[in-house]
Amino acid sequence: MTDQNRIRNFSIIAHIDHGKSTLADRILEQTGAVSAREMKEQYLDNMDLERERGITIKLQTSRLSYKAKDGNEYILNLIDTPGHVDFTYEVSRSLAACEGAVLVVDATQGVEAQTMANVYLAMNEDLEILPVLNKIDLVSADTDRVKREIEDLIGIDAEEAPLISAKEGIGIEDVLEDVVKNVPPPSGDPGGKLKALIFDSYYDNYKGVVIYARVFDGKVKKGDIVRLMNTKRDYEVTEVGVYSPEPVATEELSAGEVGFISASIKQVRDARVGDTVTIAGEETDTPLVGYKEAQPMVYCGIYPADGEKYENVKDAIEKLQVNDAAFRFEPETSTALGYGFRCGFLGLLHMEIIVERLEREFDLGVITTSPSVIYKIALLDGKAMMIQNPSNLPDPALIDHIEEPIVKADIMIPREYVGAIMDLCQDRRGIMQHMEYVTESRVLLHYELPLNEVIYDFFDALKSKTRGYGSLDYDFLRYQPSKIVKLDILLNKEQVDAFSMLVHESKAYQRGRFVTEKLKDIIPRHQFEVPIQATIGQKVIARATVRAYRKDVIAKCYGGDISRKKKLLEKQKEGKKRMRQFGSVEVPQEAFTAVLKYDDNK
Amino acid sequence: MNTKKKLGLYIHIPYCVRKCSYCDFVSFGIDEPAMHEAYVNKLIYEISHKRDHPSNDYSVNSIYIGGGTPSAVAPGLITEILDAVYVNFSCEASAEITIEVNPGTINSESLRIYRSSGINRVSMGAQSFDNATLRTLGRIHSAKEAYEAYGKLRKAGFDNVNIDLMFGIPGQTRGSWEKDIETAIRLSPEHISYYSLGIEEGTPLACALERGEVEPPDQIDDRLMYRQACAEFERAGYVQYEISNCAKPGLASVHNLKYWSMDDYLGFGVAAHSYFEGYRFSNTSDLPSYLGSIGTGGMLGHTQKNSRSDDMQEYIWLGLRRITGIDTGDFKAKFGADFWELYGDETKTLIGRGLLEQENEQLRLTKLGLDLANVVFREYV
Repeated sequence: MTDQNRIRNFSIIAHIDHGKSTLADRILEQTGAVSAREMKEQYLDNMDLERERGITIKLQTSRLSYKAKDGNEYILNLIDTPGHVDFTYEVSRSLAACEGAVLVVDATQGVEAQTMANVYLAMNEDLEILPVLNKIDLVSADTDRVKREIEDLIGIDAEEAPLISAKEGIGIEDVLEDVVKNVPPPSGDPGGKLKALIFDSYYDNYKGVVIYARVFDGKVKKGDIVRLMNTKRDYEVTEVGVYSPEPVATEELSAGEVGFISASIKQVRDARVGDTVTIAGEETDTPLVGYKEAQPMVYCGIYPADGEKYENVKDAIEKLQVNDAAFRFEPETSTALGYGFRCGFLGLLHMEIIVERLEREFDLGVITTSPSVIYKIALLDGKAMMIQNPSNLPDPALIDHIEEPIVKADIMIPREYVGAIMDLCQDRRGIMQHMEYVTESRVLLHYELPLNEVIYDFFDALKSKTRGYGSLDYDFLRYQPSKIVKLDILLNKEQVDAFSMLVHESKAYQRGRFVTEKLKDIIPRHQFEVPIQATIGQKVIARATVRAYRKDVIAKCYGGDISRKKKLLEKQKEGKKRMRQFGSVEVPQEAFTAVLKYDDNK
Repeated sequence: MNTKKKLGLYIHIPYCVRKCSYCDFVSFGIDEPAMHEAYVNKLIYEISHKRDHPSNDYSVNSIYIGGGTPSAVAPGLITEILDAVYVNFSCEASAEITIEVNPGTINSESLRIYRSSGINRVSMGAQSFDNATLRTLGRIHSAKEAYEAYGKLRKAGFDNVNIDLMFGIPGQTRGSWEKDIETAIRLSPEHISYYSLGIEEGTPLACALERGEVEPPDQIDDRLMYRQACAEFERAGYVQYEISNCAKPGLASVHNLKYWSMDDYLGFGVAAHSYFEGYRFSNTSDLPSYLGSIGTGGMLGHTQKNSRSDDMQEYIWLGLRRITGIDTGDFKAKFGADFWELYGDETKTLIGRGLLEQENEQLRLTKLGLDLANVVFREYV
């Protein structure tokens, strides 16, 4: 059993790109958990996808031992947090397992929208917040200004904040000392009844569901019969251990510790994140409140591509769900795409990541449909219904009015972009609440925006228009009546339900033109002309035409090199397989996501 | 009567004076006689190594020396190669023996040597008779040199000549193509190949297109050019026998047809391809590896035994390149399987789309099918 006074449980929080993952890497290196030689860049971001995008998606925890300047050896449990606006919920889960949070702020950029959002989350969990200024090796670092920002905006003292460069390995020890001195040790009762919190989990092919847990009171060891209090089901513990950062089995996990528990849990839905783990027959009297259920804000359909088995997609989606409590799905059918799933996500990035993981980790071909928010439909007979699938929109004659979700959006930008971003928000039907000057050069815009305007491409547009300096955080505010219409897309006169979307009346023409033009570029030429039409009800509001192809022939087959031509034909055939047939029209799968992408030239 | 099975030989000479802007074949603008000699020695070694090969039971009825530019190396080297072939293979007296030449690299002396070494057919890469188009293609010769070269061929006594033409070239107009067709007909070669230019990734021409320096050819113009050529050559007495080839009656290229008829051929030289007794194989396409290889095994790049279904598929899509198409009765005789049972669905769809037509046992591409042949072929790979 580890003396709780020698344990520190902490997270690192930051705005995206402020250096959270790099700092985590250095800490792993400094404490000897991972040698510099073993060190892949950004160890904790262990999915390729994460490393490519520079964001953390899945949580990782790591147990480190650190000999502090006071001569004592401490156990530091570093609990990584995701770094994107879509993953607020995952951040909140890992924070609840900690007593403190290291707040990394880029000394060249200062406080950003997500810095603030993360700080509020940490404060909600009563965490001790330790500010750190990163990237001080850069010439443009302005530590005095950024310290002032932290003090003014967040209201915490930043005078003593360590000045570091995670990239150059400067000041890492100061951070560790700060953690040891200022993060409170855990204070649970090791002799009490087991009370542990599930803050994440993943599916392991051999062990079943592996739970990431923080033990608050009592202890758990191999052979214990544990009860998950939410589902009231019992399991025998097969292994407990810690991540250092590779999983290592231990005798037990006791109060204050963070580690993993596997108990042959097969059913993914039985190990709910936020649930309390206790000992069967000796349940804790004070189960944890658990976390609020993550509310998906964006929905879309995911369908097997041609040649892909429904069952394979179902299995993969189920496996992803165990690793991702915020991801929801239920079966649905589309006339165009057949059997598939309606899936709920925290945001558009979350959706893209899930889809990419299905394609890359599970090697599946899937098609996604236009994302949608949840609309509240008030019917004339006084009833109300919630829909997120455009196909479920009732007959307009039965509808009294439609309400759409509005979010409160905080947008932080350099002042020179205020005009451009106000234009953008205006275009997205935003209403400005107020504007504050955070500093002389930076502005915080408070807007109310319809969520359906945010989910398409708002974030991309914001980044593009501010050269990457703009940042965004948003939260659900309320439902509000709105003039929503259903925009349908017809290919060669046939409606493709997978392209249907619900849009605000004022945006229908623009959206219709955009989608028809995009499809025109992406649908390959056919043997005949393919008209593409956007319609509202019976009315065509935009159209474009894919011209027929005239030539597709290998004229020369040189020196009997048949295999090369065959490869070309096979490649073309493969490309065709990735196409979806709608009536007589073949549509590449990319079409479904391409119509959602922000286009600067639009 | 020779009852032995027939064999074609392809011999690759990878050297050119300069690489053309559209070319992505295995060829190098290397003008060093020593290099040429080293390469030919390797070729002869490779050919000689076939002494105890099963191919000895075959009789060679076509030899095709292609490139690159075979006429860019000393003509004596060509003689040496052919001598090695004659020693190691049993060649028919009437075998079609072709050499590819560039109009800029021949003279009466080299032609005399070619003839005395047994070559009886010459394929001349004219490509166009329009100087601006020749420049776009990066050819080393002018239109005038092409006329002169053609005259030299005839004077040297070659009575079986092919002219290569290309269309669908950036900047080429339908008017200039019409003139090319007229010129070809006036010259009256025995065989004409007319290729729609394929712009291959990584070639200088593809780069020029990407940079916007030249206009991409229009698909409709390309097809109008193709159809005009087919019609004009037919009117002039040529018989089209393959997508891009026509010849005076009885003078279709023996070698060319082998590729579309699943006949056996062996390739020698860097990147040369073979189809022999159901195996498709090729030599390495890396020149230094080819030159440095020890034993013929070291030259081999890729080898693949065609499965029965590979053979059936190739029989179909290669055979459909011929204007006469494929004979479903012959298919049954060859494979013991019914064509319609195996490929009935896709074939009927293609007929329905107007890309294939059926006459008794014969199945062939329609006029539209010739334009969209890949659409058809894809269904059979």
